[in-house]
Amino acid sequence: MTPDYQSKIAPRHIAGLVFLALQVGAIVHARFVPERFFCWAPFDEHSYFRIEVEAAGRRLSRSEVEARYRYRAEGWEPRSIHNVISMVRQYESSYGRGSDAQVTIRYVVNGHPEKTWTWPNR
Amino acid sequence: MAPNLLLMCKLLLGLILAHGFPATLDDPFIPFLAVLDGFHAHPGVFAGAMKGLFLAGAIFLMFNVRVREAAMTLGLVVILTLIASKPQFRNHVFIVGCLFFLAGLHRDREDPWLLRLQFALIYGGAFINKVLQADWWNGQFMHYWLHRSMRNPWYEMLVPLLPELGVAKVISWTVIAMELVLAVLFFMPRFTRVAVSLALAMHLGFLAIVGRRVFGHFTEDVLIAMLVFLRWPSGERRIGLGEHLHRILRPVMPLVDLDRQWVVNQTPPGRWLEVAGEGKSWHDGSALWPLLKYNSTFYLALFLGFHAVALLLARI
Repeated sequence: MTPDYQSKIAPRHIAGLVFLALQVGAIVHARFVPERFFCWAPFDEHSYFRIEVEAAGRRLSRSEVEARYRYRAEGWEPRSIHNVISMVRQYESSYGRGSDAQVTIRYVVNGHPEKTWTWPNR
Repeated sequence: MAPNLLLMCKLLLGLILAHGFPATLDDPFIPFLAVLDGFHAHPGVFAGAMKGLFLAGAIFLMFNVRVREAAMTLGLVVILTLIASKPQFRNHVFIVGCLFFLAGLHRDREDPWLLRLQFALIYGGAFINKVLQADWWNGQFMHYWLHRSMRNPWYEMLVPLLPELGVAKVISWTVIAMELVLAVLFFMPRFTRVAVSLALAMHLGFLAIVGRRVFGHFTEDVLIAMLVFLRWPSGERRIGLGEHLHRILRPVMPLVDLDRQWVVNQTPPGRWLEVAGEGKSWHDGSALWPLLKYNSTFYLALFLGFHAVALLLARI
């Protein structure tokens, strides 16, 4: 009950090949940057992190931080921690530019000693 | 589009609807492409367009109207939604977008080789990202994840068996090796059957060991996507039922034959089930699997059953 399948390459398949080639590009690109987006890297590292933000002279609550980045302010990150850092950096250098915020991300990757990332970078 | 690819797309649509994907369709927010921030000058336009395209794609797909275009539209909406928002990025959503888009590029009776390459790429990418990490070689990642993060009971039970992260190292290298093998097997068409069996074993193994919620809906994505590699028969299939079964099941058979491919008759005396089509035939016990394997309702029932059990377990 198995049909004979045709496996010729049609012009419409070129779009698919380009789409797959872009993913190969993302996998190669990931070798040169710390972020891991679109490169099939789930669970290649596991981090516990906490984002703290001071803006307009006061420390933002956890829910305010989550509303600011639309991402959890504290918890486990099953992808590269640099995905979170990239998100915060992009927000603060664009939408949040006028807020003069000071951001601290404390994180532990795979059980190694805690590290800290700050914005503005000091 | 082949019936098995269409079935995969419909089940994936049901899956992302069940996981609330439409609620994530919004205007760009911290996008991967800065140009998308331009939509902030026109609030609601991007979100509205994505919602409209998603709704149209979903309706067309479910009612079998221009299904290839519908699948491609859904794929592009899913991928654009991820590109438009870094906080939304999830691998288990990205894979759904990829599967929709590539399924839409394949016509009926065509080898779905683009989807096979997609799987080779997924496992190849996962292999490269893990094998280049020292914490994957020495078991540090695995131990931290299963012990510190998850307090996984299976892992806790096995840890004393080997010294110095030995169990974590064994698990890590097993995963790395399996991902490499899967990448190679999916790349070679003649090993597709082995690849599918190994992928199912690996993902169901993960499911049993770490549970369902850990990987988002990635496990469900892969289980559903394996339908791609089922060679769905074309044309009608003759189903023969024994006298008693025929009397009982005849009225309900059209309800479970969503593909409208069955012609139901009565078997000759001495047989209780016969399935025949495309020059092959099975009878009695051996006909059960071909009957279920090439029937959309069976997979729909598996899908609903899986989620019902998961819901039940979550409540216990």
